[in-house]
Amino acid sequence: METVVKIENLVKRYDELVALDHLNLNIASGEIFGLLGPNGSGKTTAISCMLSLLEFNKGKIEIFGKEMTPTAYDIKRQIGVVFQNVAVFDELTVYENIDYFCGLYVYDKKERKKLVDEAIDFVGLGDFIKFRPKKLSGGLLRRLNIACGIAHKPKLIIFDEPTVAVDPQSRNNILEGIKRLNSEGATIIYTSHYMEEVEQICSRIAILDKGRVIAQGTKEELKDMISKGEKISVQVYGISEEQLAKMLKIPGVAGADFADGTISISMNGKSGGIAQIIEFLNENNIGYGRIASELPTLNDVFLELTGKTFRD
Amino acid sequence: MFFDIFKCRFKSLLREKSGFFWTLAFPLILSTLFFLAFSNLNKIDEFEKIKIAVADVQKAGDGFNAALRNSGLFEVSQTDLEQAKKLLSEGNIKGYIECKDANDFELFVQKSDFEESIIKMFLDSYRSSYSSAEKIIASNPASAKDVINSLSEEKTYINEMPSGNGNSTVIYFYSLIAMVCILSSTYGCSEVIKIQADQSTCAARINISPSHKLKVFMASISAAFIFEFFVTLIVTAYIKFVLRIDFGTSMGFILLLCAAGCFAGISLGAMIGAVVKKPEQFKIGVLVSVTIFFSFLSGLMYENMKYIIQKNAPALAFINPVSLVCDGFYSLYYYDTFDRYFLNVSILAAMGILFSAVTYFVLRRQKYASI
Amino acid sequence: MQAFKLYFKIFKRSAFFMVLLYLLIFGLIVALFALNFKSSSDMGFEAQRSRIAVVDNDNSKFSKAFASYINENSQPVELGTGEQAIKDALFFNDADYIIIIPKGFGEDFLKDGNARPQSYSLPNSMRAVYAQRMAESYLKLFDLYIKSGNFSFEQAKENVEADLALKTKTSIVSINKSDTGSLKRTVDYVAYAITCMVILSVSLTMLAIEKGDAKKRNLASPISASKIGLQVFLGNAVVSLICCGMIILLVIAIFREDFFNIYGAWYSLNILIYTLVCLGMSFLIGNLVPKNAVNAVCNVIALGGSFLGGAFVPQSLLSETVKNIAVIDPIFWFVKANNEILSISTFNLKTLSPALYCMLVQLLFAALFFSAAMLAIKYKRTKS
Repeated sequence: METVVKIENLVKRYDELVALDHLNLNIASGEIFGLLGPNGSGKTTAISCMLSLLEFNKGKIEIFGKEMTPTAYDIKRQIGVVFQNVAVFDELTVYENIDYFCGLYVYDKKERKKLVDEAIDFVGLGDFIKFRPKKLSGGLLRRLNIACGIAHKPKLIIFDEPTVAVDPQSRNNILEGIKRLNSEGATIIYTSHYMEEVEQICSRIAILDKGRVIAQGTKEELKDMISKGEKISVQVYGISEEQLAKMLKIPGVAGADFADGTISISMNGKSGGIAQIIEFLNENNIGYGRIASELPTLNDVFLELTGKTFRD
Repeated sequence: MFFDIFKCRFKSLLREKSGFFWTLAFPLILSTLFFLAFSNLNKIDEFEKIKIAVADVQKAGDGFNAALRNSGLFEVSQTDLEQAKKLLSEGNIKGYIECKDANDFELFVQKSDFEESIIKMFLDSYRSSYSSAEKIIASNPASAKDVINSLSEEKTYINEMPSGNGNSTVIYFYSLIAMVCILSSTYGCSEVIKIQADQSTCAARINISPSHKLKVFMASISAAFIFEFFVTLIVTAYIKFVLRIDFGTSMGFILLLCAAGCFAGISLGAMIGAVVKKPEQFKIGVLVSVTIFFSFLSGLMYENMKYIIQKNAPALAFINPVSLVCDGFYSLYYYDTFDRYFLNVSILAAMGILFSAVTYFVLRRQKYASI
Repeated sequence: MQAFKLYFKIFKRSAFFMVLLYLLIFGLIVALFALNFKSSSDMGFEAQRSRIAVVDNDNSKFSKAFASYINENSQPVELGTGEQAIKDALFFNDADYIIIIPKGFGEDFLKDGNARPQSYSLPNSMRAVYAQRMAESYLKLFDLYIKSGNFSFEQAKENVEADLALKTKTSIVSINKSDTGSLKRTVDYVAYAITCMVILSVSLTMLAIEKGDAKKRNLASPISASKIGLQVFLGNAVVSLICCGMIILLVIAIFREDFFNIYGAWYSLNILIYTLVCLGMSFLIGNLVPKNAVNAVCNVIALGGSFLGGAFVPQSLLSETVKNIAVIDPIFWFVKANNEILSISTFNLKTLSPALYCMLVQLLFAALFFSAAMLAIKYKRTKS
């Protein structure tokens, strides 16, 4: 598949702090590429370098096969960015804001009007086109922010934490929108520190920590990288030491602990061991209550790769 | 594209209400107040005949009486001493003269102001003349008649030259307009902040677009300039046509001066916006306070401040843009030649070009060390 | 007293700096002002001196004698440089009278008395008349001596100067006053400073306290709304009194012993009463005006009131129309009260009554503002 963004050995230092440490990324056309990392891991810095807003110390950035520079206007024309902070003019109405920013890309008035109308439809702000940003609620403001970034129909759209401090309903709305843009042919780069979101929409994910990519792949590939598998917990009325030891012999079971009336069983590798566990409980006449199964999350991936949890 | 951005920015400026207050409403209100308060100020020093009383004038003689009359300085009531005292204590006269002898008087007043001083000087010079006459006649008694004749002859010894009838309160209005011009620096500063990606997110959006940054900037700064220019013209027109403050003759020169002032102001603000890396509020605050201080130095709060600076620290007047605009108006109003006016306009233009050049070199940079 | 304490915490953060700034600016202006006017003493008559610039292009012995006589009997003024120096000096009232002595003047004048120096002055200016008479009498007497033919140049000079040294005895008929007016003018200026200080501190602090949710939280607490209101009002009053006190202290610091007399006491009372007016006004503003407009409103009220009311330009110089409009301006009554106090020579109820009347009007203004503020509060409460 065609490579849209290619970053090689990108290094960015702020005095003592190394924000990006030999970062390498390849993003292919048609992907929703997730850039996941805790706060301060270098996501926004990476984006800013990609956009040629920031100077960097070392490395190479190519977009659509050409080197990205501040004056690479033919590349810039293909990119749309939705910034983390709402970046609109307070004095202009919803319509005028979108029109203004779209006007920086599309100089033909007729064509622009069509694009602006489409963008307004896309984010569902049709009822608010005469409103000033100050009158919009937080969620609507985010939608306006998105409309300003995508009105010119870019081939590559970068979303930099678009859902921070957004209510759940608007968040879903945004995520749905991203999927729709992708299905219409745009390549998406999506940065977030919400793992659930990234898992939900991204086709490929890079996990960033301290300016480096510590893992990259589809979410399944990422989860395969770690030893940990499904975790099953069973509420029981009682279980003996022998029975617990016996449990470990069930194929796929990596460990079993009993505490506070609950057995916690960790499975190896792929999921699918729950049937054997239930069978074992029935065979041994162990009365059980609620059974819960928990799949490994990207947090577990992060924990195992870095030794710390994501939200530290 | 240029025109679209220009239109958009112009619309934004029109909608920013708080900016309107300081650049438009406030100067209009202040100029109205100046107008109401200063309308009589110029009469403060106007000469009017001084009301005095003379007691026992017969003791001084006809010569004194004639001199009093011919001097053209006084409105004399001839009274007795008691009456004179009463008039003075009631404030009806500025002073009374008690005549004791042909050349011996005593003056009674309540204050040491100019009116009282003029009465005293009249008496002093009467006594001096009397004494001179005595001495000259003593040296040559035959000349007595000539001496007395030439003494009573009203003859001027100094040629009064025509000099301009200027009203110094106009300086308040001129420096007010000048302040409006230079306050446009706040707009220049905001426009730069809106184009520098390390200063605002809207600017980042502009920086990543395929439009040339300096072209976008030229469009938005032109919008700010035209906007401010119109605001300045509204204020000037109000002062000239509604308050009827004298601006001298030529409308074209007034327009040119306003344009030069706004240009210097906008580019000053743009330079500060580009060079100083501080929050917007801080930069605007600094610009406003510096402008107000400059306005103070050019006479906004006290008109003579302009002269004091010009006389004691002329260099300061030449680097103060507010003072340059104010002085430009003053030159148009009061001088017969245009040299000084063109000097002011040229310095303003040069300042504007210098500030713009600095701004250009900072803005040319397209990548930032940090955002 | 929770709300009262809160008031001061918020005051310190929201308005204190602005208040200090105004105090500083006012202090500077007053100090400059006082230095300018204080020197005029009351000890007997002292003739004014005109500001005269003499430009001697002749440099003959006569022109030098003439110039030095003028300089000794006036406040000599140096002209600035540049071709417009004469015009500038007149325009800005730097010189009342400018004398240009042309080349050859001395010789020609001594020959036939017909040579003339030139003068520039503002038309019909009293100061110029004064200066002109002084200069002319020197030339006139000199002409007289020379024409008589019996006096050499030196003798003439000596005689003229001796004659001109004759002075008339002048006495001031005492009007028993310790204030020459400069203290009063300073107190007039106080109106501007105190208006700004009180409006900014009260309005900004109140707006910070009454801000949306914080206000709801206050209302939700078990202390009654009127009690909180009272405490906030108490805070306003204390802050206003502090402003008033600081201003009076500043005036005292500059005028020192000249302040400690019956005039100073009455001026202080007037300032205190005007502070109440400002308190009422800012209470109203704090309830009506949104936060970002406080600064603008404050400036318009303080500057507008001061200009119209005669705090900057003396009331006697305001036109009749302005004075008629200004009766609705509390500062007008404040300044009028100062004028009345200044004009009193013996203090008793009869002489004081005009001043007391002006103070009463101010108190009525204060009451009016308070009632309006109360109405505004009530209206806002029923509305939300």
